[in-house]
Amino acid sequence: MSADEDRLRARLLEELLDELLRSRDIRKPRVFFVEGIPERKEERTFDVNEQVLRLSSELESLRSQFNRYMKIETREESASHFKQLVSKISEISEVYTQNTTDGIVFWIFYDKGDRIEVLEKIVDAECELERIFKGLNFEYKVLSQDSINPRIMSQVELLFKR
Amino acid sequence: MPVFAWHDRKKQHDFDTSQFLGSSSNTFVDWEVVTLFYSVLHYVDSYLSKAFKIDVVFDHSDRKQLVHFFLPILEKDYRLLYHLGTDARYEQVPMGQNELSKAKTVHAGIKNQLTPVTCINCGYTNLLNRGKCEKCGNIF
Repeated sequence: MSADEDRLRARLLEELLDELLRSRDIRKPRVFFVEGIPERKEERTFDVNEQVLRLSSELESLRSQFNRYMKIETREESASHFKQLVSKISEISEVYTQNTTDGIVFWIFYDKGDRIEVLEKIVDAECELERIFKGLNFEYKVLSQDSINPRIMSQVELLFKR
Repeated sequence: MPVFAWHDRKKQHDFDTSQFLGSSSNTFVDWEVVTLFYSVLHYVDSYLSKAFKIDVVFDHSDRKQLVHFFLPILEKDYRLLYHLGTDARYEQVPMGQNELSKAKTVHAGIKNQLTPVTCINCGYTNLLNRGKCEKCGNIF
């Protein structure tokens, strides 16, 4: 994750926390300790503790939602970047993405050149992607446009409506 | 048995399997490639266990990450062999002498770099063979 994304994440979390504290008016009970009635003090302190615990738990839940959201955003951005990188390889004719339960799978078609050389170039793109978006791996299939099995082709047409 | 010792046995076993499959005919080129990949996988896991005490690698994706961080010089070769292995095992793609030859070259390169070398100058055991001793700089 880049420094910009880290800063954005930190700022959004800070704003989120401020908003949460403002909306719950957590400062209110403090007034009580100034003007409060001694015999009720213990009870109100308990309330505040409860409130803080509840807020912490809500914040944690929001933080995980936020992280999930950021991850999805980054994954989509990463997939789009990978598609761009692969599309630049001269031998590659078409690139399709398929969303599966395990994540995004790329179907990469090449129309010329040696399969291993094409694969090496795709691996280069994969390594470049890894440097930018750490930890986001994609599975891909590398298929020759000429020698593709008709049944696979019909599946591809069905999947991507070629 | 330490984790790395198991990987050390397995990497040799998988390589022997590959040799065995290729010894009589060209019938099992696909599985020769697959077993070469798994041999390399155990070279990597053995190194991670010895050098960084990483004894649990969750899956291929996790291992790719670890290779990226701890073995960047092998990253491209490792990923290429991973894809050759996956293609050989699952995909309907040609798997012939070119692919096998590439897999053997990549395997030999990774094996060479992940075979520990003891420096004759200082006696230090280099887990990663970079051509010179990490401790005293002696050229191998």
